[in-house]
Amino acid sequence: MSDDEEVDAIQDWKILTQDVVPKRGDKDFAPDGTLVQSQLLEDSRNAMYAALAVRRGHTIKQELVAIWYPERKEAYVPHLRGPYFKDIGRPSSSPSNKIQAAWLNPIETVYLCERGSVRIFLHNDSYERYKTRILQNYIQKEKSQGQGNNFDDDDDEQFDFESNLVSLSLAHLYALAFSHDSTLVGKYQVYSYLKRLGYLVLDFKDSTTRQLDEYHKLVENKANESSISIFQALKSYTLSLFSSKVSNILLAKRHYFTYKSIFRSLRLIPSYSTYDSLKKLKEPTENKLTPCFDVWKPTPQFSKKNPTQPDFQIVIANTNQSSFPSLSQIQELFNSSNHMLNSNTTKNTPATIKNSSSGPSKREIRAQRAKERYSKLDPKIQRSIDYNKLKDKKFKFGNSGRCFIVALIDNGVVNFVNLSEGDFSLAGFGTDDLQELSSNPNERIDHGIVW
Amino acid sequence: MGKRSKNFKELYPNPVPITLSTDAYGINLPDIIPHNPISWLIFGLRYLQIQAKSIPSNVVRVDFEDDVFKVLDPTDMNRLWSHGFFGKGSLSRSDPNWADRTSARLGLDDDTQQGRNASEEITKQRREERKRFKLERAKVQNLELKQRQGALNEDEEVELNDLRETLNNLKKIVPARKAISTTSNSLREEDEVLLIEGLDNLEYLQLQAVESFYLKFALGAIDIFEQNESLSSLELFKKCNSIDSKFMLNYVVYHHFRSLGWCARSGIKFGCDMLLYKRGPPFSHAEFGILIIPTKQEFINWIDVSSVARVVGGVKKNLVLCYVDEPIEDIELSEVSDIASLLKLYKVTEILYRRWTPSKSRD
Amino acid sequence: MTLIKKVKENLIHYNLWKSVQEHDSKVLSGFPPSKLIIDDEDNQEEWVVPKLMTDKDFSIEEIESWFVQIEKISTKRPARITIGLVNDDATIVYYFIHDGIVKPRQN
Repeated sequence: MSDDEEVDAIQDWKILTQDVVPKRGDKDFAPDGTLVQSQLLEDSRNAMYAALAVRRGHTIKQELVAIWYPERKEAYVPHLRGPYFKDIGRPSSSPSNKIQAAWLNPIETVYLCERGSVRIFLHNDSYERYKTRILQNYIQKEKSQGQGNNFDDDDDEQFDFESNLVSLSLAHLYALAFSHDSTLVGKYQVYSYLKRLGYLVLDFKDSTTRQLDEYHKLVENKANESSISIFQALKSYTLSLFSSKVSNILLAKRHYFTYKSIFRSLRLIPSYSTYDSLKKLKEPTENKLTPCFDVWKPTPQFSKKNPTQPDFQIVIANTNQSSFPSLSQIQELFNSSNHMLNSNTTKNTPATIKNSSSGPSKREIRAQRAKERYSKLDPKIQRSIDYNKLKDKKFKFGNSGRCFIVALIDNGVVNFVNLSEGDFSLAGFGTDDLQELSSNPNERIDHGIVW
Repeated sequence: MGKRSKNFKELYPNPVPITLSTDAYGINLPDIIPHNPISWLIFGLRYLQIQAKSIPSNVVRVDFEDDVFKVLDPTDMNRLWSHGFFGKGSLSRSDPNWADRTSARLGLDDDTQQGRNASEEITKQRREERKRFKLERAKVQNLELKQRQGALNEDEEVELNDLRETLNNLKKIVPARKAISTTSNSLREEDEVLLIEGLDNLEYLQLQAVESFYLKFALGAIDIFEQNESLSSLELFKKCNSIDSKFMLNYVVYHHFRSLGWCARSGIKFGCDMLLYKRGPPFSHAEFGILIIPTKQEFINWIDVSSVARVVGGVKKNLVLCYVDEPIEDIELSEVSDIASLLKLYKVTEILYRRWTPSKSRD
Repeated sequence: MTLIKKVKENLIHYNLWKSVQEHDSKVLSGFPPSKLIIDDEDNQEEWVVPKLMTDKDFSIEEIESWFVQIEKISTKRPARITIGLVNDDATIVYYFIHDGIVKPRQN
């Protein structure tokens, strides 16, 4: 199966009922008049029902409860338990240190409830009064025993949720959480999909101002560098003495000594250079697109308060509401992305999935051999190989690495697209790494020319 | 693979149909070592030596006929093809090899392999192998259907297993290069005509409007004639705009990539506007598929872009969206006198479009 | 060389068809060197309609008019015709147009 087909394939429930993962069979092509195909379908359906019928519940020890506050459109989690809160939840500020609680936004609430991790109830006055009682209790204890002491809370008053509050069904929760904002359903779809794959997801934070600052610094630094050597100036002057121009023929009639110099003389069409979008920020367009989520790959150390740079940033688009973003919208999104201008990382290059099961794959063997061949080469040649590889990477993934992901929702089906800042001329910012690897680091050359 | 690329580099050493003076006269300009005054002297002498010689020129004739740009002379056809892969043979898949292929097909050649190794022949063999595979597969599928219906007898069961093995072997076979056999049917009338009248080259090299304009305006490497009258760059410019309503958009992007050294060709076979090759079609498959979008265009359908992306991605190429900023004021083409200045009013911006699969990016 | 002549040349000298004929300067008939689809009859006559790739006018009415025209010429309405789209780089791509729904072919 090609990569694309693999991703789009529907979940095969029969895998759950088998001990061995079956080989992929041939696709059924058309009805053939026998019962075999319908039997296969029936078996698959039954496997799905069997998987769904498995009894699910909550363990009392790990029980997690949330109370939905309709006026706030948020859920309150009085006792945080479990691994879910690395990225989920906004800590609740409380006068007592003893209270470690958090507020969940509508999307986080529905996610935790839908996966069965949280039991959710509707808020009412009786709970509010209980909260106040408990808080006052803690404050008194802290006053008398000092804040450092970890006093027992075993004899604390317990709240009987079942008897005092309305338990919310999932359908009821959906209505309460999403009805005030129709975009939330789409956002939830994308959020829950990424969470189920193990990603860490937070709300998007705009970095336009920081990018602008860094850009101004880059411009200042560049102005201080000398650009053209006297040598090059002399060269081009003498060349012009010997050339003649024919009207409406671009390439001057003269002697040429390299093809690179011919290409240089042919450059004419102005083109976008990396970070140009920061040159003059236009007025924010009426239909400015705002990204929704910052996303991190699963990692054991993650701090909500001080997160590292996100691995991906997601914009949500709906095919029946918006058209493909315009160039200004795309560039506005680049400008707002969490990107460090001085770094030369082209992130989001696809990682190879490590196949730990049966020894090195063919690809890994080939890569190992290539590495060995490479190590035996002359350092000059090694540099030129590295130079060309880096160039290829820049053509394919972008020069700067500025990019964002569009989660495209089309009638309920989500697909993801990466839009990256391209730059085939490679003549401006972001080419320091190329310059270092080039055969003549002292001469500013045209990295974009592929010859 | 290494050997093949070495051959191609020798066969196609020049990216444009312009002759370097160093190649024409075999005089090499030495490197200058800045602090060594002797190297300056040697450089200066050689430089003046070359400047004294005439500028090498090799202009190809192109005729505008039947609404298309044609190169008729076989040497010229070859020059434009092998120096940058411009144009397409009107009766070939890419390089103009109709005469060689037909010679081989009609048994007129002397086994010199030129017609027999054409990419068309390789494709033909592949297609025939595939046809044979499909016939065997159809037999297997018919028997499998009988099996599902419970109507298979013993003999047929054995046959089914044999056929399955045959299929597996067919999958593994690497088709060997065979000599071309003339078609088993008797010669067509059409071929008899060719034989009688002598194999005249019916094929010409056809250039697209953007290619013709680039070769004329940018390189000065061709002369264009319409009804034996030569066309100036300006006249050609107006003609190209009249035959292609999107000429300016297409040309701006074409010139942008060609001037960076890329070989840019038609994207018709993969549903996009242009294909970019690093060295050229014989060397490797194209790396990039280009979709041209006027920046001012207001509504672009997601479905349209993702359809192109799907096709381009399916053939393992990378999709690049090329936005073109057009000059703010409307240009009256008949009043243009300086083409270069007009072109400088445009701007190209590249956006890379890639499919992202979250399930694969977790490490 | 008009559009129809370009497609005719391509069919004869590139695709090696036999007995290619023009009809009313609009439609071509001929015989491909081998069956176009496995289920075809041997030596089946094929119909080709030339069109410019850049021609934005394309409608069901136009397609229907081709079927009707061919029916007039051959006294039988064809089950399938082929459209030959001429591109500016001399590539001609051919697509089948069937009269009605057909079972999709296995790849």
